[in-house]
Amino acid sequence: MSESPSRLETQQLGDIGLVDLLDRVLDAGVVISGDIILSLADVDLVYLNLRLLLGSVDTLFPPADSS
Amino acid sequence: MIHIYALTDAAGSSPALLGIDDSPVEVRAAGAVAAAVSRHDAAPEPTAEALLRHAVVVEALHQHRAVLPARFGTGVPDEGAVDDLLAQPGLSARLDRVRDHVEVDVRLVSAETPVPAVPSADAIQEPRHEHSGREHLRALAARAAASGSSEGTRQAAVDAVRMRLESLASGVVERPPGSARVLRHTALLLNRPLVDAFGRAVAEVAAELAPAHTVLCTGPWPPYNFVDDAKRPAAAPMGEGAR
Repeated sequence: MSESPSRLETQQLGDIGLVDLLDRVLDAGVVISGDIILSLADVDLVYLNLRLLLGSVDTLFPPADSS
Repeated sequence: MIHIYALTDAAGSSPALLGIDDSPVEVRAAGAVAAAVSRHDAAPEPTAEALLRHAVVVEALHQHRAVLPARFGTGVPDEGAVDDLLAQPGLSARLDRVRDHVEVDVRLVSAETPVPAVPSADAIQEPRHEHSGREHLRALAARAAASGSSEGTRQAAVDAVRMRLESLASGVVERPPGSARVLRHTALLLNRPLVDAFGRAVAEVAAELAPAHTVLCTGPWPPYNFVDDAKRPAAAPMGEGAR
């Protein structure tokens, strides 16, 4: 929500937004139990792979002392 | 099988939606509550397209109704199981809690990698001779001073986020930081009319904390992290959030 993000910052925030979307779709929300089909184990593996692919805050925003 | 996108109100309008694999989204009601679902021969694979379509359907529903988003990968075998799901007690109250609310994600990120407050074993090993020992002690003192100062700055930043941003929220859920540089990561439940004011508050706090800290805010999202009161952790007391 910065007022005038640079192109790079916009790209980084876009990546963060994608991470946050995956965090929600795959790691939050109603989880139903009982006599109901759950395919979460496979989804969790995909989620981990996606997180690794997308990277973290450290890769999106390198520390000041490493630049 | 039946894929579930969200639990929602029975009443209320919503546009015709196409879900995963272009299957039509049905809103199956039981009393005052309903489930937004689509039918599939097998559980949908978690492809990028399917994940995005799930998110888009939830988002579209959220524009018109209170929703409790379902986590992707959750489905039921038949309509009877949907009805059982909708019969669970307290569902209407959970929908009322998130009605006219959105979720925003807030990260407070430090520009520097935190310095350990306690010197490591390598750092306190016996100096080999007097000259290098003095230098070593000076370095340790400087490092301790820098660490104390940084810790105070980090705590002040965390307190600013809590007092000026989280105080505007109806609910706060702490999220995994994912990095040592993320001092605080939360999902906040905001009343819709407060979103603009919240955005201004984020801009103000971010400007004051820069350049030592960055405030990253994404959203508004459907309330994925506020679907279940019982699992919602309470916000930590003031002054305990800094790492």
